[in-house]
Amino acid sequence: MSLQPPTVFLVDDEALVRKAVERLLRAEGFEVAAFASPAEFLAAHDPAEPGCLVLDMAMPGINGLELQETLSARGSALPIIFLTGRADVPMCVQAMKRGAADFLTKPLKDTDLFAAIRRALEHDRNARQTRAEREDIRARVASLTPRERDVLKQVVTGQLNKQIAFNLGTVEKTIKVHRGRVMEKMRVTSVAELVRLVERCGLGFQFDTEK
Amino acid sequence: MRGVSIDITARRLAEQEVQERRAELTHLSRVAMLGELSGSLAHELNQPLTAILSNAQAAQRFLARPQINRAELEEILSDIVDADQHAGEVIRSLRLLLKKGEVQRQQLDANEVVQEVLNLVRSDLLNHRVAAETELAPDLPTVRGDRVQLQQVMLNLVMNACDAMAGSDVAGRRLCVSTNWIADEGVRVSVRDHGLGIPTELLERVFEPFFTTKPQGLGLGLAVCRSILLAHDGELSAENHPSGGAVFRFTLPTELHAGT
Repeated sequence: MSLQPPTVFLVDDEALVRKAVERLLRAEGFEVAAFASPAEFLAAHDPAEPGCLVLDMAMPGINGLELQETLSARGSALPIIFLTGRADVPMCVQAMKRGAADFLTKPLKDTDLFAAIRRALEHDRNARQTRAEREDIRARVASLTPRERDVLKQVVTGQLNKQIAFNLGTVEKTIKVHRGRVMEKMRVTSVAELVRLVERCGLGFQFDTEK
Repeated sequence: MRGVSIDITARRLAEQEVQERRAELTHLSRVAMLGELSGSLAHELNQPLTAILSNAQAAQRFLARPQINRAELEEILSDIVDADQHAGEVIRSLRLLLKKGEVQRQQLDANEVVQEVLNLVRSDLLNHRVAAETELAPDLPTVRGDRVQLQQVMLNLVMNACDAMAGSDVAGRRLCVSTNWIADEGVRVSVRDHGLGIPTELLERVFEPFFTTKPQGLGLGLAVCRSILLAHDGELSAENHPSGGAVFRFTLPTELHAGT
């Protein structure tokens, strides 16, 4: 997990508005990176940087909705707060359906904007943490041998060593050894912990089909 | 003797009435257009208001800090002034267009009229996802005309162009506005869209009163535009561009060749 402070990425084509909102956010203590167009933002965007996107809806060229689409196609999970000059319900609905974090109308109420950004940053932090944990667990699973993975699969479904040995056509003593290594590699001390880990990882019981 | 003088009075009155009617129709058509634009115009005012509010709130926060950055505050204030002026310009142009004023002939720069209208419809173009391109000839001789009426013509042509491209691919929604100096004719302004064009048999009919292709349209816009151009000793015509889309051109005589 990165320790860098989150950045509020601001994209608005109108210089006067962009500068004003950037100042307001900096005055409130946020780290801000402002861009004059979606293309400029995309060129500089590093998905590893934590933060959120404050995005104007109506812009020439690529508009806000299209940038949202592009980002999601690229696998970016950056939360997006849309700014709009008009209460355009169909656009709002479309943006929300695609997972927009918030939708604010201009002129912006400062407290609403800050609250929306704090929620979005919090969401981004949690999501990044979950993803990092998941990756960590996946890496542990990946370190298991195929045999150990077979054992893990059976252990988490609540099978006893004796049953596992029978299922895998071996003796209980061997399973015990495998099981010990699984617990060690997965860095857990109880079956309950192991189950929780596998569940959190979101892999279900398909982890053996993956690398 | 007496009879002759009465005759002339009656004719003058009739002429005056026709002119008044025409002025009313021109104004009506303008107001109707601005009505259509109202959402975009509100947005055009909303932008500077957003800038002003966010700047002011930023300044309040900066002022609450123990150390005050003078330069930053100066910049903020200067931006607030700019935003306010921008809003003022929008309102000024709107007021002029809405007013039922006397026709005022003055020396005008056609490029300026084009630019003023494009500034006014910027949000509407964004909304229609139309990209505007301009090719404005530098050093054009001035034309003599009524600023508001010529803006009205320009506005009408631009809005029609947007409507003509509503069904096109977003990437193809290009509006091209150009100005040129044509010897022996004057200053020509061309507004080209990249829509489907106009069926040849309708190229002249589009200027007839009450001819419209729009469900909400009155069919007066282009008829009024043509009468404005006639009153300016100019002309307005439509044709299809060989590589697609319609082009509306209007020509205004300049002082240079007005004498010839």
